[in-house]
Amino acid sequence: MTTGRLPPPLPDGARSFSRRELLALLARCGAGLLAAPPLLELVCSHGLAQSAGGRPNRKRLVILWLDGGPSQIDTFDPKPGTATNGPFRALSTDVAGWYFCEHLPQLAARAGRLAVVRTMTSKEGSHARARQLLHWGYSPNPSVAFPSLGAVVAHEIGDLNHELPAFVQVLGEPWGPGYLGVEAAPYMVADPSNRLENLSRVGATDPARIAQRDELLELLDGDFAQRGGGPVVHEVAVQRLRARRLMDSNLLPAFDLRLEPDAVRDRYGRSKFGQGVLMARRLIESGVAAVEVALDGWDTHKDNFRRTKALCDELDPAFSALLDDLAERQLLDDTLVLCIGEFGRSPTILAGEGRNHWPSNYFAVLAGGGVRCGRPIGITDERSEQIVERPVQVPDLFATVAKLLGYDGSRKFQASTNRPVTLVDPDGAVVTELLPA
Amino acid sequence: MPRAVMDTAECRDAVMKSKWLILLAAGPILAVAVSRATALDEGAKGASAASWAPVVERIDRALDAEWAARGLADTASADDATWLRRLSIDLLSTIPEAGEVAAFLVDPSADKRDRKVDQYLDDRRFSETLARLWTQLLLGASGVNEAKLTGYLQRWLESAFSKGMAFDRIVRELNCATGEGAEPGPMSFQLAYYDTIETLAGVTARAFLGLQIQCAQCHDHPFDHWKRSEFNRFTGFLADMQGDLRVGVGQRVPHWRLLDRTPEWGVYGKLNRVLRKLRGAADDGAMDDGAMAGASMAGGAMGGEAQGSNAGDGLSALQELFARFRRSGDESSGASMTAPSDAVLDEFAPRLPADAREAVALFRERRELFGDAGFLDARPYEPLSDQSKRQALAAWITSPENPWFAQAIVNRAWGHLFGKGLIEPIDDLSGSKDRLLPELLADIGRDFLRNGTDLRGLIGALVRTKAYGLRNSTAADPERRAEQERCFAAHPLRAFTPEQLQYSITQATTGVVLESRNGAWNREQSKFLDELRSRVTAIDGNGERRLGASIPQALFMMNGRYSYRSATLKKEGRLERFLDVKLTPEERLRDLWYATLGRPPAPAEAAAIVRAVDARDDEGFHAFEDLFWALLNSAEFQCNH
Repeated sequence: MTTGRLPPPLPDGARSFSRRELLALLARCGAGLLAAPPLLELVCSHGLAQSAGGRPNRKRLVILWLDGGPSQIDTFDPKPGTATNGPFRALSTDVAGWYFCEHLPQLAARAGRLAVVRTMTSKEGSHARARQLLHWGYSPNPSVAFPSLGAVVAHEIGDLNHELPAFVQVLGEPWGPGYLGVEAAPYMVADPSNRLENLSRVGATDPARIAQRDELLELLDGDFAQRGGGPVVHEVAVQRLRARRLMDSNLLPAFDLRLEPDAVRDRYGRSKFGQGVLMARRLIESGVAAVEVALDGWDTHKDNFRRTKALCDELDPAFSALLDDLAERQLLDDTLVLCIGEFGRSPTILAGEGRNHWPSNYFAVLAGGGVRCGRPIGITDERSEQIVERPVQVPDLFATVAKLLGYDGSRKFQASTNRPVTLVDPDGAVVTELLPA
Repeated sequence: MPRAVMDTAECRDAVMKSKWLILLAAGPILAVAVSRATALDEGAKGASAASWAPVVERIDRALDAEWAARGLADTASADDATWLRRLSIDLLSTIPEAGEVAAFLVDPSADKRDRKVDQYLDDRRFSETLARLWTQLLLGASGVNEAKLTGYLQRWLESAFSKGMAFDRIVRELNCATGEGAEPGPMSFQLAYYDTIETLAGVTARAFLGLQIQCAQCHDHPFDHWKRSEFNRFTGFLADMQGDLRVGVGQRVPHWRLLDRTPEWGVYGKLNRVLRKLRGAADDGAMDDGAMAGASMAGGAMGGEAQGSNAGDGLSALQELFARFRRSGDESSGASMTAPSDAVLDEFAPRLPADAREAVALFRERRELFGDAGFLDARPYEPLSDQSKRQALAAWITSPENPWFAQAIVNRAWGHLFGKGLIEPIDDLSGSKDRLLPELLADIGRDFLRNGTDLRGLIGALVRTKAYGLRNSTAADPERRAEQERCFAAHPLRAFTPEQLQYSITQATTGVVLESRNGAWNREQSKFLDELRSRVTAIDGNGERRLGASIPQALFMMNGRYSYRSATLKKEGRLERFLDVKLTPEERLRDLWYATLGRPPAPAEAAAIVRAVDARDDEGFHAFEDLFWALLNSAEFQCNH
């Protein structure tokens, strides 16, 4: 389907196929999926050719998205003894001389496995624009449909032919693939404890009927392709094939948390977010390239302390359990965990115990993925109001993620007819302090 | 392969001796409530087709010549069914209902397409479609602060379009509206950007002028001629805009306010608030100036802190600084406010409390950047005492002498109907390197102005062109296909928007036409739309969200409760009712096709389908359920072709 900003067409070889091939494709959709992989390689050679030039890249990304703008002072950049600090005490971590807020005790005990950038900075103080900046690594520009970080990772290092979608989002709003096209689109999980939506065939479960439906569909699509509908038929058929692979996948239990022991589910916390992070671990184990899990509620213009504590109580066990489990499964070195929100919160405490938006300094926590851990990056002043040392711009963070995960951020894409765009903003410079020593 | 209405004899042939006869009995067509357009409130949009007729001819001539020169003149016209479905999706955001398809196809009159265009242009769903298009364009791609504003803007635009308000007037209202109230109407556009006027400047230039100046916000444009200074001067027209999303804290109904007040008032209000805090006055929220503060805050946070080691110093410094602000005139008649010079502000800065210092610094930065206003063409801006900067901007945008306005609107309307504009990208008139027949665009632009910026008439003209009535390309070579589509020598295939898919599925599966779709939905419907929106995979050049193929959408169509499952519901679903009605076999087959694909089945298709069904070892309801499933899941159903 050719619309202004829809994804670029497949290369000729993959795109133009005869009616016979088309029918074969559609027939195989119905004839069971065992025969599908070689065929899928044919139609998706586009994706295959692009994933790391054939070299398997085992790297993975988990984004823990703290929506609303988490307070840096009340989490990872406490300012004990100042008026800006509020009621929370600072808690020493397992790294000498480094403190977190008292409501992150489990993470404090694992600080040796974390790197905290305390000096993220941007000029975007409105939620929508800052969310876009932190998902795209670019300031919003209405003429470019940017892909989100998860989609980029799925597209660049994920296996787009995997039975499971290469990019899954649990909770939160969808962050699309932009100019990268549908193959990197997120698969959304609205509630990790529920069954997945639309995966079961209702009304026609017996194989004969399924085959008969597909035969009818094949007739209709084959006819439409002949009348000029070929490109759409191709796209729809490919995605239907992938949907079928998901429906019939042996890996579907990755989405089923009931298969986890109660004790494990408890360790992550029984909140939606906690269970979502557990699902992220299961998906990473099953070969999904990028998972984003959202924890909403950090926009604490009022009642900051009570709410931030409650959110920390969700974040702390989930993040910690994820680190432990990934380490135990030898997956932590390959899995980068990135914990970010759209900005920080003001040092000034408002009437009603609130804090306002504060984009001029905020935090990003990194773990795993080979990141150099056990220390903070950057220093803020005593009020956590300004950066004293080592500002890190959002494009710098995105360049660092590309470096750590091993994809080329300078790859260019045609985002609209005459504007080549690189995956990572060329202004971004890798934060070398985060690279392995 | 031109598609004719299925020959009844052939069809009967196909179903005779088939087990379909068991299922089928004779009876009338699908009983469906097809509600017609509501009457229009004004006669303003009288038959303008006549005044646009020469435009249609001019477009046809220009494209004919272009096609002949490029050897692209061989595409056949679309048949009536294809044309009707396309027109309905483009103008009403939904496929046509089965009964309407049937009536249109048997109508023998020569002017039936003409009459159908007029009928659709007068349909309330057309105003809604246009309103949604413009709402998404104006608010969609950027960070809108208040989701409610989207609904308000859509409602106002819908009413403006349905009243036949001239488009230049709509644009003027959007760009200089002022006022206060619970329903912000045209203010909704600029209110959404009350604290990010730079973003607003970019959106304004893009939407109404087809110019991409927003990159010049940070640097001189690399591909285009826009300079940062030009961007800043253009933004300067918006510098006096002061918006407030919550006038009167604690009111049950939020009040919105938008007015013109210089940034001096803003900083004055903020300083006043700090001062009152320092004085320990109760913050009762009654300070008018204070309530206005918050405008033109980009990125910064509003400090409210008053404590500090030198509160006394800060207080006296603030009081002294206040004395340096000058007010002149009576506030009700637009008093002006003068702020001290940079030198004076510099002198005070060290003594001010932190949040006052911040407010002053921000004010200085913005005075420096946006203190001057200037148009994007060579025309000088001369301030008038009775005209706000925003009014001057709105007048300049819609002036007949504006070099971009008319062409930008025409190119956009063209893009909505043809998938691409004459100039691509659709909103890059000055920087584009992909221009087809730019002189034709200029011509139509002049016609648009001559006809009083009648957007409805323009769209009516464009859908009456020969190009709009062409069928899809059947070229096997993708390059040939691309060239045909780029030159409008073949109609493109386009993905549905979420709304188009929702209305079309609902209509196909239930037979109910959603007549009023703005605001009055039940919860199920809103949920449905939200679900679809979460599947959006692309935003096209017009800012419209499009549903490309994706795994979630495939699952939704195959297994979702809103797709074919709706059709099988006992009460609301179409299938049950459909089977109850007595129909001849051929009518039954035909009506299923009308309801989903908007066309009759081709003879070969019908024969093959019947064979496929006959080969089954089950019969009855299941056969139809599976057929319905296949029709809804077909690629043809899921796109505008």
